[in-house]
Amino acid sequence: MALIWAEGFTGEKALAPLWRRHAVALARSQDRSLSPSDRGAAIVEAEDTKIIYDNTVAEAEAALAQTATREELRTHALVVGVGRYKNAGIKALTTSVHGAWAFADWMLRRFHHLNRPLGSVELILSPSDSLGDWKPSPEAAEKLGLTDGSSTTTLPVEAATFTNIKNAFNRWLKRAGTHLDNAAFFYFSGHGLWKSEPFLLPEDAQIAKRIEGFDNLIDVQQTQINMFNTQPSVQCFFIDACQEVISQLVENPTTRPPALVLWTPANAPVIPDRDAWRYEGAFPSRKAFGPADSAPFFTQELVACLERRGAAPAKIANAWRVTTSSLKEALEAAWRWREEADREAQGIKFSTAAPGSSSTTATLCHIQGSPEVIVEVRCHPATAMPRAKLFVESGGVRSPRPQPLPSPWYTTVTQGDCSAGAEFEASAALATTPENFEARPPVHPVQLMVQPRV
Amino acid sequence: MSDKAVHYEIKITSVHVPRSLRGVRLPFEIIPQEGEAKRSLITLQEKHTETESVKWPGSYLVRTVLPSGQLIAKTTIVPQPTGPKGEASSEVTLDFGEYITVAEANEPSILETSNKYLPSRRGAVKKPSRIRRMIWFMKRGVSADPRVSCDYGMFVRWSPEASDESLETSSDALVIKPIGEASTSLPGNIEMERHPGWTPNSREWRPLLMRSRFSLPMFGTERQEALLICPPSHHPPPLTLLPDPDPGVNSNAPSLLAYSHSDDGEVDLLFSYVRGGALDLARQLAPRMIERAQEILQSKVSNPVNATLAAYALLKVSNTERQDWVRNLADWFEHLSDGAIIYGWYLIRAGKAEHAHKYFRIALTRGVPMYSEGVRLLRDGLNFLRGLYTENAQVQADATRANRMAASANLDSELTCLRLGKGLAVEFNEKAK
Repeated sequence: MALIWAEGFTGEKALAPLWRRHAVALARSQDRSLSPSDRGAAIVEAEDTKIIYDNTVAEAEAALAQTATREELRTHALVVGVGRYKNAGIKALTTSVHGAWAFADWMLRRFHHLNRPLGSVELILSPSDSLGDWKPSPEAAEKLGLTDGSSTTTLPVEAATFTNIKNAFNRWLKRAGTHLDNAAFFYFSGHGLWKSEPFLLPEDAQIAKRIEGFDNLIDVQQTQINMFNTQPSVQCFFIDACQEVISQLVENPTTRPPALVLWTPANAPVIPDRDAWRYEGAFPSRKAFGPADSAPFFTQELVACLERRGAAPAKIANAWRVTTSSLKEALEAAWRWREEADREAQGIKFSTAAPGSSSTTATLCHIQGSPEVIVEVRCHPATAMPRAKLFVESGGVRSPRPQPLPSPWYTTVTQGDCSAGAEFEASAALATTPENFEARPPVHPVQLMVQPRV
Repeated sequence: MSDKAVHYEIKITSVHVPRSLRGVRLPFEIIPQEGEAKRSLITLQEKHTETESVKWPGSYLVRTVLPSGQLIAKTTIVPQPTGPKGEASSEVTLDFGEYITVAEANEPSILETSNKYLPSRRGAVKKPSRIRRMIWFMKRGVSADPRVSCDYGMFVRWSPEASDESLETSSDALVIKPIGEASTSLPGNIEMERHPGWTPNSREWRPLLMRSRFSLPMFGTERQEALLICPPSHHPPPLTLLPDPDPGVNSNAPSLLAYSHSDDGEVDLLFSYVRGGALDLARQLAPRMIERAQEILQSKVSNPVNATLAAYALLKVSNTERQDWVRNLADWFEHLSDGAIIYGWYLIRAGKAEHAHKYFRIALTRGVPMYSEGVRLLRDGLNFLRGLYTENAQVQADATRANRMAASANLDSELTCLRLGKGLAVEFNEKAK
């Protein structure tokens, strides 16, 4: 178990320090360089600290359930990052673990919801040896209660094996399910595969070889389908994993999908107005990727959209909010923007799915300050695009497109009045009038009418 | 003058409306700077203006999403009233300009071997009143080689029990065998005045199964065969075949996308929104569509295919209050499997999973669903039941079959499009060599 944060549990009851004490003692108990007596003492300490941690977690879960009975809503997050794989055939990753760190850090530091604040964060990680344990940012460390004054505070957590993920998933859904209108966020970053549906690879995933079959793959699609009658009504999966097609999957002769679900089905009526989405860092058959030393591109964009770029078009009660639907729109534009703006991000393509969803209006979080807007600029006729030097002006600053391209241009501006236009070489004999508009989030399309120059 | 006496409005004019959207009632959002959006349906006609009232002066965003997923939006400012009658209005023109529909966006140039071929509503190729045997895909205006040929095959009743189980367990190939005397093979070069599965009594409608042989060298596809399912209709079906621009998604599936459209623009629009994930707009259309679907089903000239499309969409965006008409869709049309799949899912969503298997089983005995959505729902539904009834061998076997069907299907295709041919593992190995 690695429930690292629960609302109201601070100071001596802060979960992260309790877990760390246990994890450190457990590691010492397995350190063969220590004397038998030291190891024996460490075993005792590991057992004692585990009891303290477990009791505190039980107390926290009871308190969260009480919160629900008072009709107070909460958001519960489960964050999984896999970089280390036991199977020698699966390459280790670093960006995925950076992604899980970044998302957990964002949830702890920046997540903001006026009516459904953060209730709990559970973190499961299998970092590659080169990365080691999580070093939360000072602000996150303070929120976690890891206030030892060190800039290198680390937090070891449980390994992201299939069993650990499944157990954590069940605990997380139970916590989140204490109220119909709570929200449950599941973030996963690691390897993934595709065979007519996506599969996720935990640390102990087994890819089929001549003498052994697939094992421990996560069937995320069926897991979500099985949750159609499970509280809470807001269930969001953020999956930053490849969706590659590999020969072993195509050749696999078994008729069942070679993957396991994290949630078993129950025969009960559907949750009304269920808002269940899966936002994915890769399109089927494609890879998700990112820099080795920071979060994958999808996670970067996801955090940016949740924080400032994915607002719905209008404020409600004077607050900008990110909804399941506005996040979908924003992410679909974000990969296009990122791909053009960042040479390293060539080939990214995000996707979304809504297995069994029936609503799109849930507010995932609120934006603090002014939102950004992704502006999509195109010319009519489209044949003018390769010659159009596009620009947008916002706050008196003109931002040009680096080079003319045939495809629409996606760029970002601050919400409010701005304009978009295009200039043409004299030889093109084309002209257009700049268009003034109030940029509304998440994505504001602008079509410039291009005329022959008279 | 008090605000109550003032009438604020926005006049919305549409220009350059694509043919495919003319006459369609498209859902719009009229969004103030603060507060909930007003949602409205606007009938699209070229240079047609509709007036929508709003509550306050200020900045509004008028926006909609086309079936292709393309967003169109304009901002406008409703002024303070100045006239003697206390009216204030603003105008906004939505220029559809370069925005095109899904099929138009994916459509390769097609050599018109006959000038009788005309663009259909979706920008597809359709020959009025007749379907020709050959549909030719061309590189954009370069090559004159035929790329795809379609044999209009047969429509039969499938029997899962007749499948060759030894083959099924040896590879990923989906094995479906026609049975009995109901099999009717049509010569490959037949010209059809109407859909062969059509009868005056729509309860006897059958889907048309088409075997398509094609090569798409520009997409790296050589000599594939696909089984396409073409829904019956009162009028000759406009069928669009397109090369899949992303064939790597499922290498088990054919690199071919098949689209059709019903003769009901609003049903098509609703289904497009659901397929494209624009669920908020689909929800906007849903309330009137429930009434509409029942009418479609129970009118003298009933159309189970249009009702099926509406039912797929409503399953996605609405709750389960009214199921009678969906049950009729499942029970009345004994050659169409889609209705049974949808009703099976309604039962699951109502917490009556114990009755759902019966309908999924009926669907399997009726054959292949007409729409990829049905293939997907059949797989998901039976996998759900498999997890629930782990000891039920029949559920396990049926789930296996549904998984196999889905693994052979190009789920990006609107109409069901299954891959035929050798064992897929064999093909994959051959390709790898």
